[in-house]
Amino acid sequence: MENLKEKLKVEIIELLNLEEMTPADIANDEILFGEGLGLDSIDALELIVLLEKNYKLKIENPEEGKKIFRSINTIAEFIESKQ
Amino acid sequence: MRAYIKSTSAICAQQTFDKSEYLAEYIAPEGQYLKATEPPYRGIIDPKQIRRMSRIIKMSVATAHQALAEAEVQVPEAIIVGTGLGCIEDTIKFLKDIIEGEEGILSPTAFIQSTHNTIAGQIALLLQCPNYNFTYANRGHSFENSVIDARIQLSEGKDNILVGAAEEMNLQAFEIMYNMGCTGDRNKNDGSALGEGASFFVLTNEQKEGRPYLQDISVSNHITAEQLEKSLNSFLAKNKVDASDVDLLLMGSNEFEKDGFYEKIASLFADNTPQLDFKKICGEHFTASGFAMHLGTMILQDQVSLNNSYLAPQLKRPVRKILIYNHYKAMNHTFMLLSI
Repeated sequence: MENLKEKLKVEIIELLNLEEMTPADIANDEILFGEGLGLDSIDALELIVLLEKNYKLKIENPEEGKKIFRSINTIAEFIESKQ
Repeated sequence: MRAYIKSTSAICAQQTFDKSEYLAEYIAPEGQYLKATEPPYRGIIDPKQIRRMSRIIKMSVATAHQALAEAEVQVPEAIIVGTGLGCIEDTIKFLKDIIEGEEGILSPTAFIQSTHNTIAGQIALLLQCPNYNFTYANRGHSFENSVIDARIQLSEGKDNILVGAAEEMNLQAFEIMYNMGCTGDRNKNDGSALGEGASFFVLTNEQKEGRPYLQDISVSNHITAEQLEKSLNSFLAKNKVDASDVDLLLMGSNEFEKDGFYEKIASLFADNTPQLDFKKICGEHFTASGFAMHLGTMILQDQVSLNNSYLAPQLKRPVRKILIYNHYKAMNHTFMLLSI
């Protein structure tokens, strides 16, 4: 699980071009959207693409997406639960 | 009608953005085309906004920002941009995603930024500018049509028009163009080197002592060298300018492409008329004449510093009139007359 979280952080930094950020700058429980990391709705779409491309996981329900993309912890838990 | 140039800013292969170092030192190019010398964007663009911007957007936003700041204009009354290839990096990324993803789910950022009018749109969003916003994508006349539109806007009473030229290149786009025979490889010296960059201007109706202006612009397509001569003669006559009045020729020729068109134009001026091949600085691209207009404006504004540059021809008198001649692949021909 810890390896997965680190991998996710690297992928997110690269995908969203979060320059000057390292995986160490993102806490596992940090809120990704809004006041936390400050991601927005376009980033949410990018994360949906990331999950589908890299992990073959689809998010059909937007309400489900809100919970899944809350933090690195919740994304990792979602991936683990599906594999 | 005259379009007075309040300010200009450019990014190209050489140092032009930092005006304290303007063309001061030759930057030896590397690779098959002339890559832009880009400034550090932090401090110019909000870091939160930068991460989604492709290079063409960053170059355009930075030069538009500098031009507006120098003109002391907060919100222009029109934003007009010319670009031949537009946001080609994101277009390639988007198309690659479609192929590799077998037309499945696609990255939204590359899609959003893959259109030509993203440049003018992004500038407007950052400025919160709801005014006239237009993009011209007309190959070798993309910038020229932007300038013609800007002059129309000025004639209709608008002021402080932000007009610009923008182009970006990457290795994939270069290889496609090279394989199609559209360009030479700089390393092989087998044709004009492609370039990239952005040049922006704030145009106004307001005349001011020492302010350069675009006196006139003329465009034509698919003409012969003989027709070009007639075209130049009527352009100069229309503007009541004699060939001997022109202090500097800014030409789109380069050492690998001495064609009949540039030779014809040069032959119509006295041998001692200084000539500068501006594509040595910015490379060949659809909107290279945008850089020529920028360089001409800088020469008219700041005669002394450019005389010290490695590129400037020997200018024996103050430069008051500059004729720009450029053509793209012998299809799109342009004359621009800059004066002060």
